[in-house]
Amino acid sequence: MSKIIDLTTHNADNPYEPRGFPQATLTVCKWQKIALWLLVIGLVVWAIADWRSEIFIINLVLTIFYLLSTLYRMLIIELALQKPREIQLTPEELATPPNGREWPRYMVILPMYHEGDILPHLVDGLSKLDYPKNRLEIRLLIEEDDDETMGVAKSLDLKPPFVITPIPKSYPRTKPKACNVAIEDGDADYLVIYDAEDKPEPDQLKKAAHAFARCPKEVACIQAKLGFYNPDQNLLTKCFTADYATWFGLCLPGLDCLQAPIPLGGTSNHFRLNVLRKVGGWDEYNVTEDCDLGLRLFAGGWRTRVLESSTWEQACPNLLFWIKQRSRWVKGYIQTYLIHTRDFIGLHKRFGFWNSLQFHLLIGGSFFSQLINPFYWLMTLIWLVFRPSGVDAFFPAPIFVMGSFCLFIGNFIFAYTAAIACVKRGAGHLAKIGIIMPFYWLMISIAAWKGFLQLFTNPHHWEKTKHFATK
Amino acid sequence: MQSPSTDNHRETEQQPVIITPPFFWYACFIILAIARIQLGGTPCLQLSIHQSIVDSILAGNDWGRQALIGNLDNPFLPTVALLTVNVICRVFGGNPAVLLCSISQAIIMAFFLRMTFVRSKWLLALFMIVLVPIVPFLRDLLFTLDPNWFSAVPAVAAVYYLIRWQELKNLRDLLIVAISIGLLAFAGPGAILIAVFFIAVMAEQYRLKNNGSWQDHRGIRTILWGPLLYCIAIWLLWNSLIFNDIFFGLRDAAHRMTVKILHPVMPFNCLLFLPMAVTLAILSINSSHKWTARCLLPGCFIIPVVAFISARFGIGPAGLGPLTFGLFLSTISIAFFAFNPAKHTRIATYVAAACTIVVACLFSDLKQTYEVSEDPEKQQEKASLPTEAADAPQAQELLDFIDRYWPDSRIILVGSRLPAIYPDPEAKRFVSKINFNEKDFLAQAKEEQLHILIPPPDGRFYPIQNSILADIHKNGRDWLFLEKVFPNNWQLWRSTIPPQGESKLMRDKTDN
Repeated sequence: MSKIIDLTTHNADNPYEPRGFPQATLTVCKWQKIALWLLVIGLVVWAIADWRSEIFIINLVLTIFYLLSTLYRMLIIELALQKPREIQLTPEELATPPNGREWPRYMVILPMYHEGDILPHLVDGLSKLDYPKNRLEIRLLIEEDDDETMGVAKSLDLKPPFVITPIPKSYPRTKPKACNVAIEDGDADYLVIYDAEDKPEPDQLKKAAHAFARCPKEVACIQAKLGFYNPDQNLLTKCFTADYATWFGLCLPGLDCLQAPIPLGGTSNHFRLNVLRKVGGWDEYNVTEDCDLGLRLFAGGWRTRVLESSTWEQACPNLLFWIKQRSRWVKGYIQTYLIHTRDFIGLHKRFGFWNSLQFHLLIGGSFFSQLINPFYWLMTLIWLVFRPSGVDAFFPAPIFVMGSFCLFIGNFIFAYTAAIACVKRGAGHLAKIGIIMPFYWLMISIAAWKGFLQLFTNPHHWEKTKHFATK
Repeated sequence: MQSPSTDNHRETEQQPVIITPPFFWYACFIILAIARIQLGGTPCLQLSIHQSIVDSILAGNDWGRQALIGNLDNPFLPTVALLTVNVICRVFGGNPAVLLCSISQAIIMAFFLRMTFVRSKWLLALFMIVLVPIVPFLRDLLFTLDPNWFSAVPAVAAVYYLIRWQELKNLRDLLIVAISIGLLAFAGPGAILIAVFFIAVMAEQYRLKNNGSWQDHRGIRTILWGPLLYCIAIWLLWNSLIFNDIFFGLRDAAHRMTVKILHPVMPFNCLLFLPMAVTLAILSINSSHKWTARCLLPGCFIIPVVAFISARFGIGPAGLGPLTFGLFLSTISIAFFAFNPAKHTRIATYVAAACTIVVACLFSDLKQTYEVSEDPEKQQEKASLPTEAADAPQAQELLDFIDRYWPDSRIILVGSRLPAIYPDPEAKRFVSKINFNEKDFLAQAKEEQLHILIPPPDGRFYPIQNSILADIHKNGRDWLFLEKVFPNNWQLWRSTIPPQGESKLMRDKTDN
């Protein structure tokens, strides 16, 4: 099939924007590098000159940051709870195509690498998709040199709508690169991306088609909710389930209410294919290409809505692999933040004050708090146990009040929202997991530091999500 | 799996809820608050004590922090609220107590007006506005400047959102109920008990509604109990941080429960609670708001029982008045807008509610809770100094006495009420301690000259039995000298331990 658009060739001289938009080819740009060095040098000099005032000011700034993050979180949770924001459709509405015409053409893409063992289950699951087969194309994106998966795929003797799409071996060897290759040709109205182990609800495509028809044209993306089909496997999966329930059940709908930039989840994103091609597809260098794409769509004036439909996937039950996966997400968030702040003034002009603030709190604040949390937890623990003297000097009344609010109220809100999200998601038996969420946050911070350090050592390394045999 | 809260089906047969824009009620609140501020109010003992604690905190005094956490009589929530408005008033001016009470009462009334108005009960809304100044105890409460009014805000909010939840089954309303009730953990012993029973009744009703099983509504118990248990746990943690004793506040309150009866009469006439209980009991049978009625019913017993205990054993009423205000108006509101399918039950409800109003008009009396004087001018004068100080020696008298020979001495005051009589936030001459520890006193006595003022052993300032202060009052201590006994048996003791460095003795081994 001939290409409709070229989404893989680098056609610009600018190393930061090889395909005409900011990408994660390089982590920091020139001015960011200078700014970071100036910051580090400044902190060292200040520490030598007057470390007490330095710690005081840093503490003040961080406390204000924590307070803003907590209040922002409370706002989006409150908005999510006030009124359901997700696009909901009834079975009666799904019985007929949107607008009474034909069902729109849908392309499903599934990037995979060494997924030979689960491919048969995947094909079986996708065969159950409730969508007219003649209006559907399911592309299995298999790397050229992945003989294992290719062999299994060929042995399944797949018939339409399944299509095997070999991905030529080229740099970078990433999932978003494969996805870009897949959408360079083909004719469809909408596209959805799934992961290899995903189990979407059978009527999800119909729901998304109706949702697109119902929404204004500037809604270019519809995000379905993600959940896990193994929530009770162990303590980690329970916490992970609560985490996902909070993000997809409360945070995303809240962001939708605020019409904020929405960082996409890596799967079950439904797009208007023409818009996806127009914005250049995914950033093949970014390890959280989904987050970046969500922000680029927003910057381009497009919007994302949330669909009341779920895709079930496997929660990583192994702590080591979970940390690897999470570290990639954090690394990707940092990459995304750095990319979008390269044109700092331009960002604020494009987004406006309120959306810029949300961007900083949501993307920047997310990884930043994960990195600094351990220091504050340790400080709190030391203070509670040993009551060292002199600490009071760094916590005068206003800082103490803000800090106490974040410690006692903020942490409770975060843990309580995990419980609320579980109930709202129909996993109420996991509500009590909110009590041990602080330990889960500690694991997130460990993963965050791993991701942060890997940003310097191996910025484009993709920690592939490992799939475990299901019991 | 479906969330239990996504169903918007309304179970009640009554007029549909009128949707009003939120800004309408914000405007209502602002108007009520401004109107209430103009009316001023009468200070009371509770205000004096809370204000002393606030002044002490703002001055950085340890006693303030101790009293904020470890004192169930003057609980955390109203003190923090008063502290906040004090800070605001320092910047913008105004009377903090009036501002706090006005805001609290405006929020409460806005809730009740909204409760009735949106159910097309405009006449009921109007009736409530008229009722408040007519019923004596409501009027007295309204104009009493008590920081504990702030504690009634979450209580009334819980009622409002419970009513909404019963009708609309929105998870958000349930959460607000749980969080509001959780905040009552910081509002004193009466409020804590009301909170516990409120949640317990709600949880039990939820279980019974679902055929005795939580199977399809798992997580709801966590949602309901979570905030309350967390607030209690946090309070215990703060006790541990401030006093190194996780149960300090509880022990302190229990400690003051002595055998000797202090006051032979109840703090206020509890006859009112009987028709309220009857009204709520009838509503609990089969009305459209039976859940709310059942949750409120324990309050009709808890408040008078706690009031009885408070009066008998010298513990402060801690917000029982405003809670009664909220309970009364909740009962009347629900009685007149709840739907009762059976005609005779409807009539019985109206009759019981009417009796409640009549009893409230004729028999309720809050004078003793707040020591309200007949003469407003005398009350104003008395309230500038708590009435319990009427028999205490004047501050200047004490200072003039000790300054004759010990001008550098400071006077130790123990408890929460005594510092309110002798406010000295910066501890220049009076040093407040929430509890008395001999070891700490002796250590401090080695650094400076100290006196200690011990009130009479009548249970008002410290427990009569098992109390160090009562024992000192009766038997003294080797290291204390009784300087003076003031009228009404107030004792001023002086520490006989010389501060370090004062001794002129040459302590040398070669000397015989």
